[in-house]
Amino acid sequence: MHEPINLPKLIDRLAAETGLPADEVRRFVAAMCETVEEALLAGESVTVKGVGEFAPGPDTSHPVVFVPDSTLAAVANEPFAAFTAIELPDGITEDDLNGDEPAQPQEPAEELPPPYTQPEEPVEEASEVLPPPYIAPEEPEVEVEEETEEEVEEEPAAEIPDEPEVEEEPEECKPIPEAAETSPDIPELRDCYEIDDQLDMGDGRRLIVKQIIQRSATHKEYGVDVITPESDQKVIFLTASQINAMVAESWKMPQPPAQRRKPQVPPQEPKVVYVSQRGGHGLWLCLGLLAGIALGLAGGYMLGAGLIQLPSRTVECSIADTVRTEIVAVPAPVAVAAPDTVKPDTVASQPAPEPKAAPAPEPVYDTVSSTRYLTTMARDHYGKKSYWVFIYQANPQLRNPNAISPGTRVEIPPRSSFAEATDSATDAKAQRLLNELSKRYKL
Amino acid sequence: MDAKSFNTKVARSLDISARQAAELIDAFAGVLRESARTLDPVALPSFGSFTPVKRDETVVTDRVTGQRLLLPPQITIEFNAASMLRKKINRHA
Repeated sequence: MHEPINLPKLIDRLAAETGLPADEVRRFVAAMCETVEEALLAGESVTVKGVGEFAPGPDTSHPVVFVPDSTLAAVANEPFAAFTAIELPDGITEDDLNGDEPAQPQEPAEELPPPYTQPEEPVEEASEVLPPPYIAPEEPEVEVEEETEEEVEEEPAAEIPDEPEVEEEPEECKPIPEAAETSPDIPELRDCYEIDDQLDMGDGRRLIVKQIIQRSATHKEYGVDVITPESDQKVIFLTASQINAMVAESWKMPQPPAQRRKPQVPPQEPKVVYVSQRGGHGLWLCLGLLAGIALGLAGGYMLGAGLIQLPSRTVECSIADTVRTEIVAVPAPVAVAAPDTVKPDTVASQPAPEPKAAPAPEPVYDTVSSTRYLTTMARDHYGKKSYWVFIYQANPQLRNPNAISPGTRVEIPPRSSFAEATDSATDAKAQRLLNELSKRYKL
Repeated sequence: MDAKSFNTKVARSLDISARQAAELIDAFAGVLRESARTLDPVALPSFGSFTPVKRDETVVTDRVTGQRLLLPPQITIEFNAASMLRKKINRHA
């Protein structure tokens, strides 16, 4: 039985935690109880942070209604946080759920739900108010079909006749000496298993412990994947003693090689309780979802910061290079038509290339990044870093040239749009613009 | 009475600051949380006891849809008022 925390123990703990003398803590406890009591007597409800809400009860038999604080409830139910409500298929009855359970120790009388006779239509007749709503608030109208003492007692123990009683503390894993002595080849049989424990049953079947369900303080049930050569794996729920019984029986009855591949069904095979994944797949799904979100966020951040360049930007650069090549190679036709390389008659015989209507130069764009500034673009497109002012001038949406955020798309004006007659004149123009910008933005 | 008012009232009755009262209340809540983990009841004489009660998994049926659900086990904290407090409240009522 659990040891109650009485007032002296409580005071000791509070004093140790707060560092206050025991007398003050005692006064605090008394004052707290008095305050709650006064409020209840006044017909008010009281909320104590971290503890819960005390409210006057509906009748004299229940003078105080206490609703625990959500944090307190969460801490209390921490061991069951991984469990969720499971929809039961139609074919599964409560007998299936409870059929493999050994008789449970008698609970204290005050904690037992009232026994009820087996109803013909449990949906209609069984009725009991659900426990406080913070645990299972999803279902508005539900009826509880509690396990009763009668059900536990009348469970057919004959299904697993030689099933030994599960020990009081299933956490202590130790081999069962009797089973190991009678058949030395049997793998280690235990009364406690861990996840992914495997037992080869010798006939092609393997038991793999996949889930462990704590049904009570003295009874542990294991969800076991039974893998057979022919069939898919299925999840059944067995106790440790049932697992041991199945393995022991399989090893006691050696089979001829022809029949060895046949899955041997033990005579007292426990019923399939239900096929479900208690959180296994859901957990992986959640992990995958979280990983996807994290990757997406990281990718978006890196893209925004310019650490990753999209392929489209590469295309833009190639366009820019082409344009630059055209601009630089303006005198090239003259060189091709030079008289020392081409004979005049050949030139005359060829149809003169029709002067094409100058197509409107396609705008060239580039993108600012953490490693690519306007100066870098100017150097790439015009050959001079100082010409970045012309790029800035061609993009009126830009403000402070020192504060252009990465990812900003800028238009690269053609050189002809700002070039003067000579390079020196263009340089002087760039310098003038730079001076203006320096005054405006204090570069 | 909300948590803040309760805190103020306790602080006033003990003649301590509200911060100190809040620390004490937090410490008390911490003891309750710890006892809930270990399923130990906490008894306050002439006031009542906080008892963690473990309920086994249950099968519930939705009356509307007929869907049956297997609810996991749960631990609820129950408060049992002491007989003295019961008498006081019932007499006052």
